[in-house]
Amino acid sequence: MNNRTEFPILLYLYCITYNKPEIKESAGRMDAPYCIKYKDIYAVVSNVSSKDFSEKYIENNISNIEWLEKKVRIHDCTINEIMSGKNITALVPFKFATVFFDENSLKSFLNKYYDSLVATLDSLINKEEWGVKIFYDKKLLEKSILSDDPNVKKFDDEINSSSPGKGYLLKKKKKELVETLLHVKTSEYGKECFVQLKKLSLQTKINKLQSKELTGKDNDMILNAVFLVDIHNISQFTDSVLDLKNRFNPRGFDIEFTGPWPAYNFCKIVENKMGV
Amino acid sequence: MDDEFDDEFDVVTESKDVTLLEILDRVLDKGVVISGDIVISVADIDLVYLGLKLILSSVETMEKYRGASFSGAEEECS
Repeated sequence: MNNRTEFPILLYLYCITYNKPEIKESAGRMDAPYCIKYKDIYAVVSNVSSKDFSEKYIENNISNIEWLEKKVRIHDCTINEIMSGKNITALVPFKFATVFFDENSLKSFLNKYYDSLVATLDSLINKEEWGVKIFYDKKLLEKSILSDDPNVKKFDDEINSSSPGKGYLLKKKKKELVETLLHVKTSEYGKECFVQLKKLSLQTKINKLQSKELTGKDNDMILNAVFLVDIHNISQFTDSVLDLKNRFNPRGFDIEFTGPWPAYNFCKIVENKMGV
Repeated sequence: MDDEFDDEFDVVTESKDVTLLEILDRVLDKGVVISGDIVISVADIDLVYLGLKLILSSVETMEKYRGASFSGAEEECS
């Protein structure tokens, strides 16, 4: 059995909200999330074992992907559940494994960062984070360039009427042109999508592209962006993504659309100014 | 090991259609960062995330874990 003195309980912080979140009773769950009120804000926390999250153990735990997936999904799931509460208009999500020794250390944090937390909550009221990733099918785009681009076609005519030697050089040049066009087209389409969606959002952020090894997809990623969207514009935003999808799909572009996410990409808090 | 912190989780996942990578990318790499008074320093987690990307980008690992829910992840998070 667990020895409490050996593995003291720590306090895991998921998120901060304005209104009191409705948390479903989950009888018998030691990790069940609950609220701690501080001034007019609520911290959603749960008790966790130091066997999982203390500095001593976490490094080892985290390299165990099964442990990590379990805990990371609990983190994600808990915040999603809070976010879906009808009275929750804004929340500040914390990073995985933001853990305090006890309620006192949590409250001292809330005190120190109160102004910034409230300002961040205010900035997020009735807003949602949505993610848009664009991938492109190189072969399909290449095919359309080969059949549609007038400059590429010109090469074909020249190649057909040239000697084998000259033809070889022309083929090489044609290949170079196609590569350049691929690059031009992907950035053009990526930009077009981004600009169109940016118009419907309040804030945007472009994140690093992920490699094929990481995404497990056959196609290359050409855009990895997140958008902060007013909830009143969500349907317009979604329609716009669908419109882009329909327009660009035949040309070899695939748009992956996820959300609503807690505003992980649009939160930043700082310590209160001196003397506050 | 069978203790109160291991068997309490009616794990997850409402979000099982979202890949692990998608979630890790947010909960480890983004989200509010604080320092002091906490058990684990943020720098540690950042390092973990970098290391993790390497682990995840190994094809074997990804094939095993990509998008799949792990054993025991049957019940909804509620």
